[in-house]
Amino acid sequence: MTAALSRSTRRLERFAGGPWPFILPGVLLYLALSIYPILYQSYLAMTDMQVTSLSSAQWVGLENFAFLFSDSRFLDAIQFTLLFVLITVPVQYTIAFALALLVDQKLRGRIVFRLTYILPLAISSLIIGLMWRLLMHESAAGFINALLEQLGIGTIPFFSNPNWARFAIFFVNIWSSVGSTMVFLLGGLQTIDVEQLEAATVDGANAWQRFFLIKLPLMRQISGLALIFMFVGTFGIFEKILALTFGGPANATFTIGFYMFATAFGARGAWGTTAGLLGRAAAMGVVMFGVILIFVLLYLWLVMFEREEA
Amino acid sequence: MTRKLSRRAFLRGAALVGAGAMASACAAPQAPAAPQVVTQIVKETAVVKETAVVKETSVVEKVIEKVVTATPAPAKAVKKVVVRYMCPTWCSTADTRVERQVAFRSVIDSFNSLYGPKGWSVQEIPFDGDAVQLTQQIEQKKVDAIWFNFSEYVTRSRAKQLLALDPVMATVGEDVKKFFPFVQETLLSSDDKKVYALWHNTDTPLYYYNKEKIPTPPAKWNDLVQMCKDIRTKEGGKKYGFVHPFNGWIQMNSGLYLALGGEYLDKTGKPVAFEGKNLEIWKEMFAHYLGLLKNDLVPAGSVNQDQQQMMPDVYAGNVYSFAGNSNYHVRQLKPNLKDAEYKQWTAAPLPYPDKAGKGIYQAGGWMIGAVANPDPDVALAAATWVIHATNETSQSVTNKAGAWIPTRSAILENDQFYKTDPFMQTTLKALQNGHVVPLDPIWGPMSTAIQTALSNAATGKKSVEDALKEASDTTMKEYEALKKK
Amino acid sequence: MATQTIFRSALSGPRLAKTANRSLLYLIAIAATVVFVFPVIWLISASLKPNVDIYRAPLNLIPSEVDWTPYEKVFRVTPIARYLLNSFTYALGGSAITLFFSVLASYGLSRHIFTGKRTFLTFLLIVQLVPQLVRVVPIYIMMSSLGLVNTQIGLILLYGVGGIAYGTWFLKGYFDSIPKDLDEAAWMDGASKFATIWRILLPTMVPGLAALLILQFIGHWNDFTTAAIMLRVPDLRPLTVGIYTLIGPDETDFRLLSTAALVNIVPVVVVFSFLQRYLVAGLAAGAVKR
Repeated sequence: MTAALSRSTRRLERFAGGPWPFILPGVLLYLALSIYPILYQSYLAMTDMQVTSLSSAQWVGLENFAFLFSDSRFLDAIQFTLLFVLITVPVQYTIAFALALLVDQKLRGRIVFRLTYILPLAISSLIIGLMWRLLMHESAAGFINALLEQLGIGTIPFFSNPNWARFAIFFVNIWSSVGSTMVFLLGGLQTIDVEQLEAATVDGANAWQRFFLIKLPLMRQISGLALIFMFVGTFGIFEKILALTFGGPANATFTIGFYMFATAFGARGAWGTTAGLLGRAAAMGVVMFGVILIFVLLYLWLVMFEREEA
Repeated sequence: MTRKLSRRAFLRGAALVGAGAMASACAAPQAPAAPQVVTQIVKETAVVKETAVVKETSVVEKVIEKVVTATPAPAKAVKKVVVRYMCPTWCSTADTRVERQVAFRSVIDSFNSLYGPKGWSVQEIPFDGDAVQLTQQIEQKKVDAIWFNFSEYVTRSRAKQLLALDPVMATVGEDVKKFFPFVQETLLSSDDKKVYALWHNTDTPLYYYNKEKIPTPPAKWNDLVQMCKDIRTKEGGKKYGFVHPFNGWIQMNSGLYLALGGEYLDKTGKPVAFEGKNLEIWKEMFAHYLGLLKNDLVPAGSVNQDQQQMMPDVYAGNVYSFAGNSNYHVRQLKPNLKDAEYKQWTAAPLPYPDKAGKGIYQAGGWMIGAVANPDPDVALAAATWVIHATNETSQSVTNKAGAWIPTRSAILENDQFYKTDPFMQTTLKALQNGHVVPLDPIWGPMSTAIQTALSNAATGKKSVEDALKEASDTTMKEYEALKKK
Repeated sequence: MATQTIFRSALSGPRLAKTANRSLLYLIAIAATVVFVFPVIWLISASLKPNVDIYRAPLNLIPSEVDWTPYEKVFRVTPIARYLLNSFTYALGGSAITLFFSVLASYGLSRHIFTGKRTFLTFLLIVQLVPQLVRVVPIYIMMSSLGLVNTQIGLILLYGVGGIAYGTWFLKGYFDSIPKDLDEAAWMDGASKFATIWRILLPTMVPGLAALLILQFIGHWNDFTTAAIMLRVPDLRPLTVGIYTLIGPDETDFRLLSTAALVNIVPVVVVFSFLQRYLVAGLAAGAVKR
């Protein structure tokens, strides 16, 4: 088989004239707009570029970073961002897996169920934020609190209490992203070899055992992929925070990304006087990327580790 | 460009343009060569009919002849100069509201017809109002005149983005003294005391209240607290007497700090707001607001709400007064309340601390300026446009359309509308003691720090002392960073 | 698939426990559906209620008086038609560019072996994970120095190029599953490389292409951050940015806002429902075929 493969592959090589004419244009363009900006940002982070003097930025070395790491708001932002990622990802994974298992069962109308679980993917993040802002409004003018009041539970201070504000962000983010993780995991579930499951059942395994001993291990690679997608992707949260809590109260829901955007472009209410510090914002971007990189490297190391074992 | 102009509006706009054109045609023509008589047509607009949707005005021309010593000689061949004027959509002909479209259209058209013979015209470039974008366009030399927020006056003039208007102002008989006192002060606060822009409209926070529920608006903080307590005792449950946005708190209270004797910056521009007696003043002010929260006199949610997010409680009929900005809360209340209820609402100046003796309120607003340009013809045209767009006529027309307050003393005496409209009168009363925040770049970080301190204290994350200490540290750090530049 | 069903049902536990179990499963499934769908239903109800009722009677999902004015008003007062056209242009343009380059690149990657291929693939995978938010500041400065800010081309380019890595990774799996003999046969028949791709390989990949197109289109249609920093002029705004300008200090009419939001959501949901078959198959296959 190998001999035949290499023969036809070699012929194919000659046929197509090498891979590079196909690969290069797209990849080069992509690298220009995705890798180069990251490198450029590292340079920007060491300048004092501002909105009012785009052409006269000067080198300031690590000054921006020194400022950031002595800024309590930034430290709060790092703390919350990590908290956010480390809590929501496992929760989202669990819920997504549960939903995937659910949809995998032979329930009637499961296509409809599946559609509704991925419905939030069709809605823009900003709109999701605006919707939930009013739904979670703190008095009985908001739907959820009105409901809670009817049930006699009393209102929840979703946005004025720091912990509830964090909960609100976690909840809305999971609500909007769990669908895509579910589909991913579902794909994995549906390729599990049925014969293994049958054999296990014949051997007397019940549903729980089938799950933990067969399905879960076989899903390891897909799970790993899903998890790293989630970990990294979650850093990109922005519009929801903008619409829901604006980083408050008292910077309880301040993420690095939000602080960065507000520093660079201003956010509603800061009429350009606090914003426009592009150099400092770039420094935040660098830190953000650094944290993401750590997660990615961890993942790669684990994958390599596993490959060595296997 | 999709512009939703109704026919009626279009006809009215056309009428104004036609009137302007006819008037300038009838007036003494732009004299050729030597004669120095320049005719100025002053259009006075009187409100003829006012409906809920539009205000119809009629134009009355008064022809004034002025002798001016230095008139640019129009004997040369007419060189076409287009003044590219960049302004946010909401104050341009591209806004969705008909009254604003008509108003801004009329100002541009009157300029074009007045100065058309000179070859000048204005090209409006609406954008989304972002300051970063504006700076970019200026640096790339893509605009000749801009509409910008007053808070950027010093920074933009310092960055040499703006043109000094004094020479052209002298030529056409314009004077900074024709504006309100706080406007004059601000315009002359540039580094070299030259006038780099003209203030077009202003606004200030007001206290909006439901007069059925609150027959007499509280004038001072103690009255306010008492009123809130009464309403809580009388009605309880979900009903509150007052709500104040904590996001954006500084806008409503920056003046009150001054009224209590506080100081923001010393003579060298160094922040002193966190030292000595100034610190005590913040503590007092914080105590008042934290008290309102702690004693359940305002809805708890206001801690993380801005002026728009606190409104659902008002619309739901659960809150009877609020602090809001003068120009747009009229527009917020109207679409969201039933007519009968909307009529119950009126405004008064914000309550001030008892110790203060009077209330001082932050004046906001927008300016129009000409971009520094080496080409003298363009510079002249742009400067003339700025003066035209902020003159008495233009301001009357546009400020009515935007529900803003004009910045010239004369309008208040000459214009029927501003003399009789209750919201305008209230805003004017509040603006008697208008103040402008320091236009120094340190104001941004300092005000954000104070806000954050309040937020920290209100959520219990830090004690008031620690919160203010942190605000002080952050502000001084930013100040050091700015000084290095 | 059928055999799986038979085996699975035949090998499950006793009937009674099974029915109880299944009822529980249905309950959970329906509860989950309610959680996911009800905000949209609420949005629809908010767009039909009089403004006051949104705040006074939030629990009444069925409005006491149905008022269609926002639907007509949103088209009359706001330039929503223009925004829609813009959204569509950017989404379609971006997806087209992505598709074009992705097809080429994934073909190259699939059909050839070269040293470092695996590393390269992993590299591609990792790079496209990083959220765009990390890059907004440098991209803004780069784009403005290229003069592409406030241009339609600029945004379409940004969208299109940004999706190439994902598209390549996604389509490579599809290309891999097509036997190379097909290429050879076509080559022997004298077809050029492009003809091979276009006429022979792509038609078999339609589900994958459709899935990629849909995913990219929806992503661009719903984008806010990139469009917000790139497009400042009202005329060029896509719908998401237009909606953001509807809330804020100047005027907040929540009914109008919810109507505009629905206009943004409904087309996507409709497309989604009809094509979800492709989409799910595509996403799942992409997951497996890595």
